[in-house]
Amino acid sequence: MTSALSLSLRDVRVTAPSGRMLLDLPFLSLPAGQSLAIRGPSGAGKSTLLHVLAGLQPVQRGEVLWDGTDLARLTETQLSTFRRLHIGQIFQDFLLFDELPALENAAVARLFAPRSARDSILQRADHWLTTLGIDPRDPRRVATYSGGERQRIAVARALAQNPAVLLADEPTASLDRATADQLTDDLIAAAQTTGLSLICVTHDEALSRRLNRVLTLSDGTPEAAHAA
Amino acid sequence: MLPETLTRLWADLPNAAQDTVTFVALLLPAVLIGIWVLRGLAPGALITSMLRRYAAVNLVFTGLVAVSVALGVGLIAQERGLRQGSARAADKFDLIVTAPGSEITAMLAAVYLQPTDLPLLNGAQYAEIAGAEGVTFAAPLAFGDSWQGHPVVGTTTDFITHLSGASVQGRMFADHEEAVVGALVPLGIGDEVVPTHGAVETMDEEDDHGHHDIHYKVVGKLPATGSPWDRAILVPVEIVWELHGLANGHTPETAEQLGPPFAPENFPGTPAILVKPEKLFQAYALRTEFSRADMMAFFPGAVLSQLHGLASDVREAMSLLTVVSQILVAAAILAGLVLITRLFARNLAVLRALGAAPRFLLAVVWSYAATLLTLGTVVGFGLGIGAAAVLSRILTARTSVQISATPGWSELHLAAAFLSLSLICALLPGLLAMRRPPLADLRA
Ligand SMILES: Nc1ncnc2c1ncn2[C@@H]1O[C@H](COP(=O)(O)OP(=O)(O)O)[C@@H](O)[C@H]1O
Ligand SMILES: [Mg+2]
Repeated sequence: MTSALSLSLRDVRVTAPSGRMLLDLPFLSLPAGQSLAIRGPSGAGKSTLLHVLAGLQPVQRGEVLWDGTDLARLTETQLSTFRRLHIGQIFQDFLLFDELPALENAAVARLFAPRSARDSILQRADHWLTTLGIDPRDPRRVATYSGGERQRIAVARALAQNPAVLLADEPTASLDRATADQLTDDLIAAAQTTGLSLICVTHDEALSRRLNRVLTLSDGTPEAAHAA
Repeated sequence: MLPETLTRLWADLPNAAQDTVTFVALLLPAVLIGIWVLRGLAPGALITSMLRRYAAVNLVFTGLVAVSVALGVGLIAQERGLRQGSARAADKFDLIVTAPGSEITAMLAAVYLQPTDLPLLNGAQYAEIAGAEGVTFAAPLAFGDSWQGHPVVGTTTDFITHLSGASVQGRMFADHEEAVVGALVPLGIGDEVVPTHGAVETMDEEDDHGHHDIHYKVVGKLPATGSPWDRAILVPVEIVWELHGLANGHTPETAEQLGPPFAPENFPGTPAILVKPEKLFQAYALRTEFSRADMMAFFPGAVLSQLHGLASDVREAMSLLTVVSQILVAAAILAGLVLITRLFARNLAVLRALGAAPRFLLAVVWSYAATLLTLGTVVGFGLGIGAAAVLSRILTARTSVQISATPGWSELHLAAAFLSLSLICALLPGLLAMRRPPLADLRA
C-alpha cells in the first residue's frame, strides 16, 4: 500500500460565499495510521471538514498538510491525482453507480487510473469485495443490493484505491443497528490490516468509541479534542 | 503557385477519390476530437451505465437526432434519384420533332408516354425530316390503344432497336399483327394481346372504347430501359393507323411494307418524330433546321436540364432549410446534452471525489454524447435512405420512370459534417461538467 500519511492542519478557515463562517479550526493533527471520529450536531461543519481534508473544499485561510503536501497549494488536477493516490472516501448514501455490477463499482478507479495501475485496482477490488462478503462475480447491478451490501461495496471501492487515508461521512447512518455494527467491525479491521488512517464523521457511539481520537465540532469550531 | 498546383492536382483526382477525401476530411474533426479527449482514458463501462440509466431519455434523444439526419439524407437521395431517373429515361431520345407548342408537353408524351393531345406533323413534314442530311432514322409515333393499362405504341423497328440497344429477347416484329413488349409488360413471347381502344386518349376518333378486332402476337421482349417504355407494347405504326381507320402510310402497291420510307400523301400524321442524328454536331444543326414556324425540334436532355435548373432554386431553398434545421437541431442537441448531463451530475461529482481528473469528466460526458450522436446519425442515415427507397418505389410504380435512391456521397458528406459538428458541440457540456466544482453536486 501507499505509506500512511500524517495529518497536520493549521489555522483553517472556510467561509460560505455569503461570508458565513463554516469552519474555523486552529489546529488538528493525526499521526499516520491513527483513527479519528468527528462528532457534532447537524450543520456543525463535519462534512465540510472532511471535504477540506479531501481537497474538495477550498479553504480561505490556513494550511492542510498531508505529510508536508499542502492541499491549498495544489491545482485541481494535482488535487485529483492526490485523491486518487491517497484518499479513499465513503459517503452516507453510498453514491454507487446503480447500473453497474459490484466489481465494476468497486474497481471504478480503474477507468481513470493510469494503465499501469489498472490491474492492481481490479485485484484489490476483487479482494476487498470477497473479504467483505460480496461475490465479485455476481453480475447483478448494485441497485438490487441491500443498503448494508451497498455500503460494503462502497468500502471496497475506497480500499481498492489502496488509500493512505479513509474518509467516511456517516457511513453507518443509513443502516440498521446490526448492519451498522457489522460495517464498523469491517472498517476497523480493514484499517488495521492496511495501516491506513481512518477519519469518520459519525453520530454512532459504537463506532466513535473504537477510534483513537474524537473531535467534536459545534458551529464550525472544536469543542474539545482529546485522546480516547 | 503552390495553391494553383494543388488545385490542379485536386481537379485531376478521380471523382471517387475526391469524394472519399472530402468524406474523410469531414469526419476527421470528430475522430481527432475523440482521440484527443479519450487519450489514455477508458470510460467505456461508465458510458454503458449512463446509457442504461436513462434509457428512455437516451432513446428519445437518439431518435430526434436520427429523424433530423434522415430528413436531410432522404431529401438529397430522393432529389438525385429523381434527377438521374428522369435523365436515364430520356437517354435514348436524342432529338424530338413535333408541331409547335410546349416542349415539356411534347417530351411528356414522347419520352414519358403521358397521354396528351398533340397536334400532328404531316407526311410532307415527316418526309423532309427523314430525308434531311445527317438523319440516321426518323421514327413516327402513334398512340391511342392500350392493354390492361399498358400503352400500345406504334413506331418503327429502327427506334426500338436503338431503344433496346439491339438486345431484344426473341425478335423484332416483322408483320402487322406482331408486337414487341417492354420489360415490365407481363407478357411472354408467344402470348397474344387484344388491345382496347382508348385509355391512352390521343388520336381518338372513335366513340366507343371497345376491343379492336386484332390479336397481336408477342414475338420479342425488350431489356429494361428504366423508362415508361418498359411498360409499353410496341407494334408497327402502320397497324395503329389502320385500326383507327386511317391510311397506313404506304401506297397500295407497298401496302404490306413496314417502316420507312412512307408515302407522304398516305401519311396520316404523327404527334412526334424521334430523330437519331448520325453525329453530335448534326444533332445541333438538325435542331436549328427544324425549329421554325411549322414545327419545333428539341433535345429532351436539354429540356430536363432546364427543368432541373428551375427546380434548383427550390432545391437550394430546401438545402438552406435543411442546413437551418440542422443548426437548430444542433442547438437543441446542445441544450439537451447539457440537461442530460445534469442528470448525471452527482455521479460525475463522485468520480471527481474519488480522484478522477477534470479531464476524465470531459471524456465521460463527451463519449456519452458521442455515442448517442453517432448512433442517431447512423440510424438516421439508414432511415433517410430507407425512406427515399420506399418513396422511389412508389414513384417508380406511379410513373414507370425507374427511380432509385441509393446512398451517394452527398448524403455521406452531410452525415459526416453533421456528426463532426455535433461532436464539436458535444465538447461544451463536457467542458461545463469538467469546470463544475464537484462539491455542490456531492452535497445535493
Ligand atoms: N456550499 C455551501 N454554501 C453555503 N453554506 C453551506 C454550503 N455547504 C454547506 N453549507 C452550510 O455549512 C454548514 C455546515 O455544513 P456541513 O459541513 O454539511 O455540516 P454537518 O456535516 O456537520 O452536518 C451548514 O450550515 C450548511 O448549511
Ligand atoms: Mg454532514
